[in-house]
Amino acid sequence: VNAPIEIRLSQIPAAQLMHAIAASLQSTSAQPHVQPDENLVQVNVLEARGQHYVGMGLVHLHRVDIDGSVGDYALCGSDQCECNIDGNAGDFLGHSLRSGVVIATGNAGHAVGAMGTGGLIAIYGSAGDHVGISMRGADVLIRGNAGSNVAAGMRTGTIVIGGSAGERMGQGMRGGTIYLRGDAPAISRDIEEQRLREPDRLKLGLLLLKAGIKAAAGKDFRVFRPRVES
Amino acid sequence: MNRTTNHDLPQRIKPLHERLGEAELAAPGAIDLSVRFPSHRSGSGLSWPAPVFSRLGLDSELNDAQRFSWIKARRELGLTTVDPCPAPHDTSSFPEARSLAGGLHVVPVFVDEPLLPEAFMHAEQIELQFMPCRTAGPSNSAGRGDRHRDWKPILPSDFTQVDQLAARVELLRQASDQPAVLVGGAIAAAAVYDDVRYLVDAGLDYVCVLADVIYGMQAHASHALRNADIAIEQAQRAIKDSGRHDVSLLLSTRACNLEDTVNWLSRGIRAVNIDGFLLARQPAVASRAADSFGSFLGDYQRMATPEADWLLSSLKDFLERLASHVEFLGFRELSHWTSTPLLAPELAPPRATPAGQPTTIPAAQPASPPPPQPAATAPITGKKKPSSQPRTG
Repeated sequence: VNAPIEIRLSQIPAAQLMHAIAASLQSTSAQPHVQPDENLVQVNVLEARGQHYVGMGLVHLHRVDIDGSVGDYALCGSDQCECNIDGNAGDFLGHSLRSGVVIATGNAGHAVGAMGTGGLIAIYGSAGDHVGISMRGADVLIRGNAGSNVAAGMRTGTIVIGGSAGERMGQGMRGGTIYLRGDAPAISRDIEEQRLREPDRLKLGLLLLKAGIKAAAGKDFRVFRPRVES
Repeated sequence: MNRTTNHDLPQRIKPLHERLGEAELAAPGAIDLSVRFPSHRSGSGLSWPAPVFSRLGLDSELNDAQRFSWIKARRELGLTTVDPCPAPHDTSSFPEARSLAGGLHVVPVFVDEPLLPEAFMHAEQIELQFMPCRTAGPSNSAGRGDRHRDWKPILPSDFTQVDQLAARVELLRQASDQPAVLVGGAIAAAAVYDDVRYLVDAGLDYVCVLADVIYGMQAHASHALRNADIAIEQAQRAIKDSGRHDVSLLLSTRACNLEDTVNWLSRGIRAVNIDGFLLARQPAVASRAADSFGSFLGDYQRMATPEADWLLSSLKDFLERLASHVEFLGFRELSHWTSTPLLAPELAPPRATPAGQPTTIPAAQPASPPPPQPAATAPITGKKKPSSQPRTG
C-alpha cells in the first residue's frame, strides 16, 4: 500500500475527487504515467462537511477514509473501493454502486443503495425511507432502523435490517431478499415471510462479517422474499 | 405541415442595393454553419460546427463499416453524434483531442439505468434519455423500437419526488472536469408542454424533442410519435413560459430533405436530427444469396451490405446545400440567419388548438392573439402540474 494521499474537500469540487486523486498520483509518483488502478492507493479525505456528490466514480482504490459527514449522492457509481465515512451521509448514498464496500458510522438519509448493482453498503446507525429502492444486485446492511418503503422496486440483492422497518416494506419488490430483525408495522402484499434456512444464516454471517459487525446471525432474523404466484 | 417554401423566401432576401461589393468582399464557400448552445450554469456554452446531429449509434445497430464512417463524419464534417459506446482508440471523442471543426460526442445517460460515471467524467455534453433503455435486458433486445411503449417517457424508478431531477442534473454537470458542460434531455413527444416545462425547470440546458424516431437503419420505417409542428409549438411555449431564454430546442424528425431542415431552423430549432436524410440516401444493392451462401438458398434476393461511404457523401452534400441556402439568403453565418425572423407574421406556423387541430390563419388577416399564458416563470414543483395550461393534443 502506498503512502496515503490527503485531499481536502474544501479545496476541490466534491464531485471531482477522483480527478484530484489521479492528479495527485501523477504529481507525486515517480512514474507519471502510472494509472491509479496499478497502485494500492489509500486516500484520506479531510474537511467533509456535508458536501454533495463526494467521491463520485471512485474506482480501483484500496481504501478511502472520509473524515466527516457527506451530503447527497456520496460515492455514487464507485467500483472496487473500500470506503469508510466517519459521520453521517445524505440521500442516495452509494447510488449505482458496482462493487466494493461502503461503510458509514453514522446515519444515512433516504434511498441508500438505490440502483446499486453490486458491492455492500453498511450503515451503523439508522437510515431513512426507500432503502434499496430499485436495487439491482447490491447488498445493504442497516444496523439500526429503516424508514418506510424498504426495497421498493428492488430486482435483486439483499437488505439486512438490524432494527425495525417502516411501513410498506417490499412494495413492488420483484426479487432479492430482506432480512429483518425487528418489527415491521405493515409489509407489502408483494412479499411474504419465509423460513430462515441454513443458506440464509450463512449469507447473513458473511454480510455481517464483511461489514465489520460482530453479531451472531441467529434465529432472530426473519426472511422476506417476493410472493410467488401459484 | 407548414413549410417554408421558396415562394416565401424572397421577402427576406437582401435587396440588390445592399449587395453592392458583396461579391468581392466575401470569399465563396466560407459560410459559418456553427451554432452556439448556452449553458445554464457556467454562463458560457459550447459551439457545434453544424446544426445537425445523429442518433444512429443509439437508436440503431451500426456495423463496423457504418460506425467507422459515422465517426469519420463527426471528425471531418462536424456531425455531432449521440454515441453510447465510442469506438476503441477513437481519440476524437475526448474533448482535448477534438478539433474545433469536429463535432461533439454527446454521452447518453438513460435515466432508469445505473449511472456509469466513467462514461461522462470527461464529457462536454451529456444527454439524459427519458425513455426505457432498449439495449439492456433480454426482454429489451437491441434494435426494437417500433412500438410506442419503447419510447414512453419515464422518470428514474428511484425517484420518489419529481423535484429530485434537478439534483441528478447537477450531479452530471459537476461530475465532468470540462470547463463548460451541457446537460440536456431527450424525450419522446407525448405531453410536450408539460414534459418540456418540467425538464427546463429542472435546469437542463437543452431539450431534444423526438417527434419521429428512426430505428433499425430504415428510414422508411421511422416511427412517428407526434406531429412535429405541434410538438415545436408546445415546446417553445413551455420554454417561454418557464422564463428561461437560454434553453435550446433540438428536434428529431424524419425530415429527409433540406427544405424540412431549413423550416425547423428558421423556426428557432437549434439543431436537427439528420438521420432520416442520411438513411434516405442509403443505397440498396440487391444480389442473389446464392452468390455467397451456395445453392441451398436458391434464388432468394438479399440486401447486400453496401459501402458506408454514402454516409459521408450524403452529409457533405447536405451541409454544402445548407451553406448554399444560407448564402442565398444573404447571410454569412447560420446564427445570424436563425436569429433573424424568417417568416412574416402572416406566414407563421399554425397554432395548435387545445384539441390538437391546427388552425389555418389566412394570410390577409392579422395573426390571432396568443393563447392565454399561465403565470410566467412559475416553476413546477412537486407533483402538481400547471392547471391553467390546457394539455393540448
